[in-house]
Amino acid sequence: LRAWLSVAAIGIGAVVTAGTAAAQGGTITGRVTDAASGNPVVNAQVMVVGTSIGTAVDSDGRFRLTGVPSSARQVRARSIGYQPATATFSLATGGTANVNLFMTASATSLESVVITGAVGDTRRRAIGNAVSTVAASEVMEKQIVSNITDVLQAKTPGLTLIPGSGQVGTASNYRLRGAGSLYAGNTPTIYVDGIRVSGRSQGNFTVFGQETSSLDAINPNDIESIEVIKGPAAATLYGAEAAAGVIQVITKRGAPGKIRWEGRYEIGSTRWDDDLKPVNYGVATAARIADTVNFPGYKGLQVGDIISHRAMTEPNALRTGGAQKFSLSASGGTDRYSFFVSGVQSKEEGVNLNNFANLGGLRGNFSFVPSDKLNFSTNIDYSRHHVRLPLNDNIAFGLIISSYLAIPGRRYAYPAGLNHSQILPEVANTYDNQTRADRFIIGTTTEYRPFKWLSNRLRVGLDYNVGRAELYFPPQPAGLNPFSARASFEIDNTKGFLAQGRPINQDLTFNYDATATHDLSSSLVSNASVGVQYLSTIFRRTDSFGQDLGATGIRSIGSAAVTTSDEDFSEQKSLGFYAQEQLAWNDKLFVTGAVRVDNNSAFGSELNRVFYPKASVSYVISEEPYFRVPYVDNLRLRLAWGQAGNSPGPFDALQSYTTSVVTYAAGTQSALRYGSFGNPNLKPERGTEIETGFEAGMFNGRMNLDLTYYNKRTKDALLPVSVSPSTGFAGTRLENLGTISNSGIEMVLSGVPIQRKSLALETTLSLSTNHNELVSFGDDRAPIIFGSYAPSQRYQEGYPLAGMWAQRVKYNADGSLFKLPNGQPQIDTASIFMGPSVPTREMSFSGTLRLFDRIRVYGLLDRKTGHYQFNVKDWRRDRAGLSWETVNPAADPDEVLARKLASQTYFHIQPADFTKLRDLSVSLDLPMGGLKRYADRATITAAGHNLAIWTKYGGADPELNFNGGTSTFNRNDSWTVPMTKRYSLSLSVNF
Amino acid sequence: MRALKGFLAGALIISAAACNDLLDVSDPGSIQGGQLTDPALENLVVNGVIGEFQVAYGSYAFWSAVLADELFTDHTNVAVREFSLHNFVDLNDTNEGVYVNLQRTRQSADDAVDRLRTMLGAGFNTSISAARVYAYGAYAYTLLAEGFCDAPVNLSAPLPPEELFRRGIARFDTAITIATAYRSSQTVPANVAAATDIINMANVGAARAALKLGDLAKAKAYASLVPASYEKLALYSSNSVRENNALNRPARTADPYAGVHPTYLGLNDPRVPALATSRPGLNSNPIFPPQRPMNYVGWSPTTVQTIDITTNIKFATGLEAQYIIAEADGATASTLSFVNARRAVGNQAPVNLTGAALIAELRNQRARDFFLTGQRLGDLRRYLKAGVDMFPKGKYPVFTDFYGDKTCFIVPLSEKAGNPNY
Repeated sequence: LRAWLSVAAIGIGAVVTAGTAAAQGGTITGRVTDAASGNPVVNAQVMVVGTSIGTAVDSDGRFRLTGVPSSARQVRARSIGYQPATATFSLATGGTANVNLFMTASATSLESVVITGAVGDTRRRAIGNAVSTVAASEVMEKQIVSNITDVLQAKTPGLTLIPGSGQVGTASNYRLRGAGSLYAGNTPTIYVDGIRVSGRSQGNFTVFGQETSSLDAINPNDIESIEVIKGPAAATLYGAEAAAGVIQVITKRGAPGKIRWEGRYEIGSTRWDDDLKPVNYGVATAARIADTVNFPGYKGLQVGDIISHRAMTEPNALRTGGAQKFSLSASGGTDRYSFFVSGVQSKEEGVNLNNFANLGGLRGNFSFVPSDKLNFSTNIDYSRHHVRLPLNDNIAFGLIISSYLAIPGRRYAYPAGLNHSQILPEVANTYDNQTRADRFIIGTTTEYRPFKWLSNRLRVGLDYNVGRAELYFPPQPAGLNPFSARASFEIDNTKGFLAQGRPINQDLTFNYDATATHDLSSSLVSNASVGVQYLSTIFRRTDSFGQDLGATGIRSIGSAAVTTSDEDFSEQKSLGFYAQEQLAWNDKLFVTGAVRVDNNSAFGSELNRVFYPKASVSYVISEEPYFRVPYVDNLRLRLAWGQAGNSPGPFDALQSYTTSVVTYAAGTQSALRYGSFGNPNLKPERGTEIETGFEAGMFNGRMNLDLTYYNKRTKDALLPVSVSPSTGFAGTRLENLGTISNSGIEMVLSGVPIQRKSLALETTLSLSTNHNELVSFGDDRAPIIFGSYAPSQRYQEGYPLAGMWAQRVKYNADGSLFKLPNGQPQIDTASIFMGPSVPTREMSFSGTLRLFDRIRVYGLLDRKTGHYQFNVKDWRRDRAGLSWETVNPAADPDEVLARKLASQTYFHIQPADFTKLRDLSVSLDLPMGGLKRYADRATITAAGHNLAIWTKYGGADPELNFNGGTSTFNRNDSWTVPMTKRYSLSLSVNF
Repeated sequence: MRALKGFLAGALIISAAACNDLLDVSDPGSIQGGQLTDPALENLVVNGVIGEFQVAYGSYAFWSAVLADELFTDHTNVAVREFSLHNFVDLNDTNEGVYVNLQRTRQSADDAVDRLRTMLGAGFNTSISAARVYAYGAYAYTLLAEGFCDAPVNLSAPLPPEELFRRGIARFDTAITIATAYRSSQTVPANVAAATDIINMANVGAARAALKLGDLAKAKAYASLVPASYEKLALYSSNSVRENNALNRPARTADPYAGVHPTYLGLNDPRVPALATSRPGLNSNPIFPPQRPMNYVGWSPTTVQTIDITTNIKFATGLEAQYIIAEADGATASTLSFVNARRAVGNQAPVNLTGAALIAELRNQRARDFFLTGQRLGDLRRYLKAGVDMFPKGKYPVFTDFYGDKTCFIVPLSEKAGNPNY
């Protein structure tokens, strides 16, 4: 890895050096520091105003610019999270000058450029909608993260992250400003450097719950920042696939200056704390005491004695997973070239012995500026992602269910055993389900400014992800391999079974924008933009299955005695045009209007195009002469309205038949089968959003407040309409029927309450709310009731999508439990609405304490409230009589009866509010002393993740979902690993 | 600016013209409806009907056994559990699965009739393909009538079982007519045999439908035309899960979830075999998984064998026709003789019964001979209609729960939600 990077960097560096040597003129040196703390702003870029001469500062904030013309007068520094700083100088021909720049931290810098969803004047001051920016490179300085989800977690108000599991390599669910769709998906569209990329699974064979995610193949060390635009008001220019918002990952780039190396090594561990595992209880009965073979744990006990066992504590059940990561990057350039190259190699083990996630990757970002009118940039990213997942969740032979539902002291028949009702850990750990994915993301951008008033940008990119999923069972005698059924496609695999899948995902992006700037008057400027976007997504998967492998170790489909195969294919294309007019009055008031027209291969045949308009106003009122508000440095008011779409799936509109097979005595023949019912009138969902708010900088940059109110309404929501099986077709077809609303507020308050030379405290409080409601189905249908274990969730008009509903046992008028003649309780026919299934109020509070310019202590508290979770684990344990609530001799016997009733869920759909100490870290910049000649800076960081939880929820962790992170609405706390604690140590060296 | 305005106008014009070529996509796994009148697809259409029937029949044979008194399950899935308890609602997935399979078979047969009529023109009335799709479609009508409380046909209002039986019989009659016409036009022995096979199948089916409709004379008339040795198979293979025998998975030794109901345990009758020792079900309760019963191909009266993925099932037989004749005849000497012959197969001593006792024993033997072939639920329903309730009652064999009162499959919510007649 290092050799590759060295060759790349040295080669590029030679060009850089040559370019630098050719420069003529004076020299400027200086240092860029934080105005409050005096610390160096290590990510600052410094440019000589009016020229293309610039550089990045070193790790001490120092810079050196050469070839500066004597006519230059100003130098400007920019950095994410700071307001630009400008300083003046005078320079004689060939002379030198020293200039220091002091930057004021600001989460709402009006001059920073927004990349996502904006054309024309893209300075934040000109954008009428809220844009959240996560400075990933700063996050990496304070935290030790595993993936992009860690980078975003609790840092963007309005973005709800719903993890699936504590298993490594599993996906999380992303949702922006609530769910706006039942069927078409609520996952934001993901772009990397302007190229749309896939966020789908890496194509693993099912483990009956969790899924992998291709987003985890993005190396977080490569990310400079992440922009999040949250709804139709901001995402109109992305058209029919953007109503759920857009997340844009912006990777690092080289900057003029010497080659900067950064090496980083991390080591860590993750574990499932014992106190988050349940205790199973068993009551000694005469039968159990007498049966010493099947109930050895009851030998010598008295009837009525209670024994207990903490689940998952046996040897081989779990481990403390190790993790290590090594990354190296180099960047540099001149005013004509720049580069950033990097590599990463990481290995992360989960707490299950057969769970790991490994990532290897290489990236090269190159920019070339042949003239002031033209520049090119190319980004090339290759990654190899390798994940092994354990069998878990909703499957009888999962290790967790086997442990959680075992009667303590009972020895079950092999492959189960003592304290494991279905499977022993050593057998469960042999489950071998691995997925590899090789991914290439290649994008190139050309910007051409033939005239001062006209700029063009052409961007072409490809995300090509080739996976290889494999599921293997060696030949084993009947009865020894318990995975023979549901875990392996219902095929008897006692003779060995191998499944191999080859998913290929290909996303093509073609994007062209042009903007013409025209001064209509001395105070009024017009930015007129047009653009075209063409997107194509092809997904192809081929699966092969082999049975009867002959011998252990044979892992070739071709060697199997019986082989079968399967194939899946989908293709979707969209073409959109937009036009935008933006008027700027005195660089303070910005009015924008735009329209996008889209066509999409997924639309029904009766629909050719859809239009999405938008309008926005941004007003920097603080720059008005009359604005005199004490302590307010700047204030910008925002108002935006816009529409965007959410298209149906690739072939949802088509009615079609397919072929299957029929078995005859002489063999198999092809046979006609009903396929999809289709809908020729199908169109995309239409999201309409209005948002308004303001950004204020106060107390000389020591406090910033960003407040937004949004109201989003989805019309023509795609709803599955049952296709009556009596037509021959089955399942559902989509119709544009529903209306869904989301509203809420988002607030970020950041400040620097303490700033001394040797002590500074930076804090950020982030709040968001969401009120989600299914306004109307659009037809007179009954509520849609669903649930993986019980009818626990609903789509019902007037309630949040997928809200939690409970079934309660029936009580008599006097409050006593109603009992049938056989003494059993009975379910009440009325269902009870409990609450939403996702958080409706989220709050995070982070603080960074800087000590003596060397030590940083960072903490992040994350609180989510207002939602309910189905505690399936305890529901099943109560039913099985394994919980303390059901064996406690002092327990109310009627409550025990009620808890044990299979159909009741009222006791187990529980408030899921929690507060987590999500991150805590300490970073120390090591004194370099005599090592300064070898390295500019070395930082050691110790960090913990998910260190503590405060909750009244009955289970270990309400923040998980057996259905996996890719599941849109199903929520169940069942047979999967809770969020684990992670401890990490890193050493980062810049040289 | 002029250039820009031109570009803007051009872009919108292009969009209005719809760049459809750029948006063309392929769906290589699908056939459009308009293609299905191509005569080249005749076999594909017929195969579709038979393929659907074999899947539906396997599913019905298993789950109707659970809804009757032949099997019970020990499963973790709530839908399976509630169905097995005979206490389920129209959202139940298990119930819905059986319904979908049977309706798909029925409608594919009705659609196939229309398509073959277009494809074959005047040749339709002498086409063995047409006879086949009529016969298999008629069986789908019959099974719907036997198992479901009521059921619609292609978005109709719910039809009572009697109407479904009548429609089934009408299709069996048409199948017989067309197959007979086809047979008379053929000289190739294999073709003649194929036509005879369909005629026999339709006669057994029509007799079955008439029996359960209560028209014993008509039932006997059809049954009398069936040779005693006739057997029609539903065929299964290892080619795909869909083509597997549906009983294989739940009855597998390794991790079964279906057990023979206590009603049929300990009979020492090779026609209703169960595993000799219990196995833990999916909830770890002891169950005795069923083994290969008499009307499954490969059954042996002396050796208990597993139900394999590829085990075929006899769904229409001369034996069934003989049972129908005996039932139509009533408690006669020939019926007693027939009953004792069947008892001998089951290692039972002969009996000398008359009247209602003989008819009861005839029913008992029928239950054993057609164990797990999808006959029992229909039989229990007609017995119940006649005042004899043989559905399981009381405590469920392995749970603490008690049996509910469902005696038939119900129309699922998916049908009601999309059917304007509900």
